[in-house]
Amino acid sequence: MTARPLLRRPLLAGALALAVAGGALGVTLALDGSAEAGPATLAVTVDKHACGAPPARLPAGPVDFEVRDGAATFVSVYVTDPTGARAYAEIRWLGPNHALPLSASLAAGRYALRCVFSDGPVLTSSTVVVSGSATDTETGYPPMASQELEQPVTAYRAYVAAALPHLLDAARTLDTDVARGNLGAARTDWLPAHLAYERLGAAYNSFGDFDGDIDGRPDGLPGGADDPGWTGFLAIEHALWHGAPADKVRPLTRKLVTDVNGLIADFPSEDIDSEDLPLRAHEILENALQFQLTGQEDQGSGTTLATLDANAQGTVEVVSLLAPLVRDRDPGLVETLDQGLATLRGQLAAAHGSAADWPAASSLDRTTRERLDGVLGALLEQLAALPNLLSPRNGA
Amino acid sequence: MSDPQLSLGRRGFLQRATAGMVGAAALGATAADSARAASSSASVSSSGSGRVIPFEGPHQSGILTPPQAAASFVSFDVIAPDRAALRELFAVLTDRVRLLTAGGSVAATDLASAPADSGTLGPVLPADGLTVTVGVGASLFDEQRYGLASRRPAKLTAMPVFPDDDMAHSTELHGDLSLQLCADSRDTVAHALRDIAKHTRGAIQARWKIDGTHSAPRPSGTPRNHLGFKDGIANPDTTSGAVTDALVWTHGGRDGEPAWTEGGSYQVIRIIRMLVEFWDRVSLDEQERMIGRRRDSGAPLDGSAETDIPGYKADPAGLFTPMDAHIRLANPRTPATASQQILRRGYNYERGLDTDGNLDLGLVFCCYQQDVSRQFAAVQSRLAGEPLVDYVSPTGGGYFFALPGVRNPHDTFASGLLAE
Repeated sequence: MTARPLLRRPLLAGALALAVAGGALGVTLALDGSAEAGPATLAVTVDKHACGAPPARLPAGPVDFEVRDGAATFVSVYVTDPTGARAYAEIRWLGPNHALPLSASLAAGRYALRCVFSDGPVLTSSTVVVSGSATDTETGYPPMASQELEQPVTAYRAYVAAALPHLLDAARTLDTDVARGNLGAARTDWLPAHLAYERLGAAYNSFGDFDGDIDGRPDGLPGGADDPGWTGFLAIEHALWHGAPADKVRPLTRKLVTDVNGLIADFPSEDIDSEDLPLRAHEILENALQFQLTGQEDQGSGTTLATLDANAQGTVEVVSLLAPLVRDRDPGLVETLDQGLATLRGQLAAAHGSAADWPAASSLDRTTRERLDGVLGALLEQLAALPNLLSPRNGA
Repeated sequence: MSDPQLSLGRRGFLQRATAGMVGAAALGATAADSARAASSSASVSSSGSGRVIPFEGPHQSGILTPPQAAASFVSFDVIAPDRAALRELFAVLTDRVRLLTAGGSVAATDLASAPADSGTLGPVLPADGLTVTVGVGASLFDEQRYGLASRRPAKLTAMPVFPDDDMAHSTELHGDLSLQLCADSRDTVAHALRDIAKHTRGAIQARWKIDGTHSAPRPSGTPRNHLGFKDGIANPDTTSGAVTDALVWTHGGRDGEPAWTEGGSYQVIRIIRMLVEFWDRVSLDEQERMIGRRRDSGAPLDGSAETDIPGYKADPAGLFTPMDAHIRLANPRTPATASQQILRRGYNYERGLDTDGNLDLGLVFCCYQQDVSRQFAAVQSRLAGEPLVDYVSPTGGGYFFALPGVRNPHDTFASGLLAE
C-alpha cells in the first residue's frame, strides 16, 4: 500500500545548481533579484512550432519554469514524462503573450514539457534528463482525459434516476398525510422523504433550480423563514415542527410533489458537467460539515445528523463510481476514503444508538462531537484530492 | 474500543502512521533543510521578521523567551485512537513546529493537491519569532486512554476550582493538549495554528482558544494590562540558570517526578476577565492600594521606580503597602515564599462584548513553574478574597505540563513520555 504523505515539507534551495545547468545550456535565465524568490527561474517560450526549449539536463530537485505563450491561442502546459504517461506539474490556462510559473520537484528520470493548445495542436518538447537525487520529489499522476469521466457520470445518472421514484413515493406519502390532516404521521414520514433526497448527493444546487425549490434554506430569502417564497423539505419541516395547521402545510407538500415530478421529467435532459462529479465527491460532505453537523440547517426536527448520514451515503456512491479512475492514479486513496466513510457512518450509528430518534446535533456530548468533527475533518482532507486528481487533462 | 467501526478508524490512522514513519526515515534531511532554512531566513528580513528562535534544546522555547507581540493559547482534546496514533501525532507536531519556526520556502503544490500552504504569509514563510510550546493535560494520562497513568507528571492535575473563580458554566476549561503559539505578528500566529490544525486533523480536536497581545511599554519598562497597571514586573531572573533550575524546570527523579519530565515545566493558563467599566469607576488611590503599585510609574507604594523592591519588613502594619494588596499577597518576599515564585508570561486579551454591552477585556494569565502545587496554587490560595477579586473574573483555563524540549534532529515532542 502506498504510504500517503501526511506531511509536506517545504522544498528548499537547489536553485543555484539549476541556474548553472540552465546557463550552460543556453536557456534564458530570469534571475529574480530578491533572495526571497528562491530558485532562479528558467524562462521558456512556447508556440505552435515547439513546446519551449527546456535544458537537456537538469539536476534532481525543484525546478521553476517561467512559461510564455508565444502563440496566438491559449495553451495548457504540463511537465510530463516524454510519453505523457505521467504529469508532474501544470499551467491550466495560459493566454497569448502572457507568462506564468510552472514549478515541480523532479526525481531522476526523463521529462518533457507538453503543450496542449486550445485549438487542438499538442506539442512535446525535447527530452529533459534529470539526474542525481533529491528529497520531496513528486511522483506525478497519470493524466485523465475528460472522456474517462463519461462512464462514471452515466452510472451516477442511473443511480439518481433509479432513486427518484422512491423520492416521489415518499413525497406523495408525506403529502397524503397532510391532506388527511394527520400531521403526526407527516412528521414521521417527513424524514424518510428528506433523506431520499439527501442521499442523491446533491451539493451546491447540483439539480439547478429544483434544488432550491426542493431543499432550499431560508437564509438567503428577504423574509427568512417567513418568506412566502420558501418551499421544499426545510420549509415543510419548519411548518410541521412549529405548530402550523394542516391547511398551511398542504400547499408546501403539494408543491414538493410537483417539484419532484418536475425534477424527474427534467433530469434526463439535464446536463451534468462531467467535472462536477469529482467535485461533488468532495463537496457533499463539506456542505454537510457546515450545515448538518453544526445543526445549522435544523428547522425543528433535530435530524441533521440523519441528513449527514444520508450525505455520507451519497458520497459513498459517488466515490465508488470514481474508484477505478482514482485507483489508477493514487493506489490506496480509495481504501483510505472507504475507511473514513465507514468510520464516519459507524460513529453516527453509535451516536444514534438504539434510540428511535436521531439525537439533535445540538445535544451531542463533547466527546461524541469531537470524534465526529475529527473523523469528518480528516476525511475531508482526503476527499479534497479528488477534484484535482480527476481534473480532465486532455492531451497531457 | 470493541466497536468494529472504531477498529476501522484505527486501521485508517495506522496507515497514516506508516506515512509518518517514512517521514521519520527522511528526518536527517529534513533537519538539514530546516537548518538551511533558518540560516537563509536570518538573512531575509525584507518582508516580515526573519527572527528565528531556535526550536531544539533541552527546554521548549516560548517559556524563557521574552514575550512576542502576539499569542494564541489553544486547548485540544486528543482523539487519536491509540498509542501508536498518539506517537504519530507528536511526530507530526514536531515536524510542523520545526518547519514553521524555521521559516523558508513553501513546498511546491502537488498536481493532485490543494495548496500545500494557506499562503497567508506569502510564498516564503518568515520565521517571525514564532514559538510553539506544547503542553499536556492531566486527562491525557487517564486510565483507559493511552496507558500513560504511571507516567503522569507528579503534580499534574486538572486545574482545581479556586474560591473566586467564575467557571461553573465555562466552555473554556482543561484539555488533553495545549499549544501556546507566539510570534512577532498576529498573522504568523494564525498561519501556524491553521497549518498545525490541518496536519493533525483527526488526531486532535480544538476545545477552546483565546488570543492575546503583548502591549508595548507605555512609556517604558514593563507593559501594562487592561487595568492600566504594569504587569509582570517581579518575574524571576530568567537569565540565571540557577534561578530557572530552581523555579521553572522540572527535574526527572526529583520530588517524585518521572525521569522523562527533565527539562519540562508546569504551565498554568487562566482566562481572567477584567471588569474594566467597574474598575474605571474606582478612585486611583483605591486602585493603587488594591494592586500595591503606583499606576503611572509601576513603583511599589514605598518606592519611586518600578524596579524598586518593596520593603515589607519595614512596613509590618501595611502603612505603605496594605497587607492585602495584590503584589504583597502574591509575593510576600520572605525566605519561606521565595520558592513559590512563578514565571509569568501573560498576554492581554480583547474580544467582543458581554450581554450588558460591556467590553470583554482581560488577561490570558500564563505562568510556568517547577511545581504547580508549591508555586501557582500556593500563591493563588493566598490571593483568595483579596480586594481585587471584585474587579476580575476568572472564566477559564487549565493546568498543563509543557513537555521537555526537542533535543536533536531525530528527537520528537514527548519522546521520553512515549518511550517503550
